[in-house]
Amino acid sequence: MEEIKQRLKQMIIEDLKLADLRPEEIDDQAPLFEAGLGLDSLDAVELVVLIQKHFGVQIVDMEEGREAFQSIDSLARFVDARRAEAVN
Amino acid sequence: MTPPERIPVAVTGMGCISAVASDLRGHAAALERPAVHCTPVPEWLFPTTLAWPVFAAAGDPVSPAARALLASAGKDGDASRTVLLAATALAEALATARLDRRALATRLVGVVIGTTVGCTFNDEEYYLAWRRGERPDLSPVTRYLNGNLAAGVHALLGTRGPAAVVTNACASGSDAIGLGREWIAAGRCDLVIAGGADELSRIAYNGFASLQLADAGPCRPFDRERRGLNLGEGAGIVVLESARQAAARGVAPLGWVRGYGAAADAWHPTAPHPEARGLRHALERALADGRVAPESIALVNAHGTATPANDLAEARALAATLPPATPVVSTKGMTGHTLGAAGAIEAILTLLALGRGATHGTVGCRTADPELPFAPLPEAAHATLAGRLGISQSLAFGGCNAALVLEAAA
Amino acid sequence: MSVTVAVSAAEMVVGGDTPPLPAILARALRRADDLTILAITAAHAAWQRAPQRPVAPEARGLFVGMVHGPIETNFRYLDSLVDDGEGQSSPTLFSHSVHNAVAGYVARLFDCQGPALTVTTFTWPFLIALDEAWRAIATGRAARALAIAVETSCPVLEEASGRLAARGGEPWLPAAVAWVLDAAEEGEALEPILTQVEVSEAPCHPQALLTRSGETRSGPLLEATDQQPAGAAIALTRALGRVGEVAPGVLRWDLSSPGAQAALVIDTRPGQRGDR
Repeated sequence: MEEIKQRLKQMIIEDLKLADLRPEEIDDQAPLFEAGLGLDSLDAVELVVLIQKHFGVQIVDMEEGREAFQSIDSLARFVDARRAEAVN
Repeated sequence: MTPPERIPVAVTGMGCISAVASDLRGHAAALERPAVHCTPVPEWLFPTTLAWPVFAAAGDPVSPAARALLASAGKDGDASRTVLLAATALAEALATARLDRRALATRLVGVVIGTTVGCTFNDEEYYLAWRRGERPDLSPVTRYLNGNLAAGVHALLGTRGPAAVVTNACASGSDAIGLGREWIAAGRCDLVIAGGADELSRIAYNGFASLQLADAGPCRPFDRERRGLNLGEGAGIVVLESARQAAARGVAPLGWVRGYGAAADAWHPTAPHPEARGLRHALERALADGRVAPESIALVNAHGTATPANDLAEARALAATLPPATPVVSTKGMTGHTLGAAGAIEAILTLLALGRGATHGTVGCRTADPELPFAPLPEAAHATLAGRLGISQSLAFGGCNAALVLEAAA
Repeated sequence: MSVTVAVSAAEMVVGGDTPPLPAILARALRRADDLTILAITAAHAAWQRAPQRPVAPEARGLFVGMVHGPIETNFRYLDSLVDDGEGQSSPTLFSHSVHNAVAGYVARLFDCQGPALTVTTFTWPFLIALDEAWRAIATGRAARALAIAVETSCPVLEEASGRLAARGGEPWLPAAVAWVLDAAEEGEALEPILTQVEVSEAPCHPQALLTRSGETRSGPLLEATDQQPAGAAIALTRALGRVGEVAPGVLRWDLSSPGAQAALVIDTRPGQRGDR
């Protein structure tokens, strides 16, 4: 799970262009959208594509995404659970 | 500052092609008996593995009159689909305005056309070959260079005068007509050919899909269950001239562009301002420009793309500007979202409905969303219009907003 | 029309010498492509240079002219579509490949809530944008307007241009220019006054639109260099910056090419009002 979180943070920083942040500065529980990192609706749909590309996990629509995108924690749990399902 | 007194700008010609029909008569008929021609992307259009449905112009994108026009100017080879659609609408607009090359030769003619896809270099085959280090045949580049719609119309008609291609995303067609009105009102030219054109493109199709803005079924503008838009294609062209010149030519106006307003949200690249402040400003400006009171508006053709965000924001702007009983419809349930052509096609549909004195409800809106602060006309409703003044409005990516106040002739 | 329109500032960014932007702008531009960053850089410089006057956001107009515009971003989107596949293409790249994406950023960062227009043509879109900006102020639709031209280099088209011209293509320079136009208040003497902008396009061989061969420029201080998409806008901006080197008067610049004719007239006499 820790590895997933690290990869997620790296991906968010690189691919969402948050050049002034380092992974250790991203709090696992901090909100990703609005407050916290301050990502917006365009980042949200970009994140859907990134999750699919880097983790092979598909997010069908933004309803599903909303839950998962609360924080790094929730996103990591979501990705982990989906990948486990795919294996089984 | 009060806007100066303006020359009345008449609409003397109109031409229109979309999934609805390939001419004006077909669009007028659809206003009485709407149909929904929403299908998976036809194979002959472009290859895709995605299932989002679209509104494709079903028949030949180029009418016989347009083909003749293109041939007479030596331009019938290798024109893009956008150019063909535009030529079809152009040929019809000229015919309804009783204009031909001879009649135009003596006039200073302005051309202003809106587009989104029509100005881009989207030839995948060429780009991929170049990417592989090859030196591909240059025909796609030539087609791109031949694709400027305003210059193209001037070339087709042998005219000279102001020319502009408006690339304001989804507001382009409205802005083009607005600009045409400004040019006539300023005495810059005698006559303006204005409108918009866009073809269905694999790039735009995938782009909107990646933004999660598409509906898996026919779109449902203002509906409680709306999920997103369907892309469409087409062209709408109007001929604008001063009312005095139309009278001198002995041509009865089909209507008038009474006012134009444009304003930016200054907010976000893809999402509208939540209160649609740009649209509110555009509406206020358009009404002031036309010296028209909100209460005089008999019909609004909304942008109504059926995305959750657009319809809500748009309804807020309407609630802030117009009396609640004003009939508001979206016609994108019949045309799809035709991007650069939308503002022009919808201005024409507005004039047709105003001329008819009646409108059907919003195709695709089975139950209007109760959360909307402004109630649109749902699908099953019909309204007799209280007058001949209406509004056609557009909201675009990048936060551009445009509104046209239109009046139909009796 | 008797509103006098003055050019309050004219700035440009050419090639690699992009000055760094203030940090507050940099964060807002994190997703922006090179085209947008160039445009914002020029617009910021012009906005800073223009006189600080209270202009309501709704009275700020924005007019952008492009030749090829976001073509590179369009190719980057195509890369993502082809390489990552349908369903995995980048929505950020797509939304930045729309021609008025630049206007969206400029409007946001300079709070321009008046009319915003992006025009695209192969000849001199900056002059069309400038004309519409002038017109917006003259008819009271705006009190201040930004007129912007912006282009990036484009290896795909540079290569095609080189082949068409049957010579090595001159590499294009990324460039942006931004002019601030202001309505002169009653009795206010601003200069230079923008007196006339005219562009007229004519049919020509498509190749000439790409290679820009046969493009000529005449008028005081107007250089013939930079024969590339934003070249005329750059040359005019440079010339405008040097008008102090010639005696005050009515200056006229003419552009000519197989595809168009254009003229730009300014009045640099102090305390004069230009009549159009």
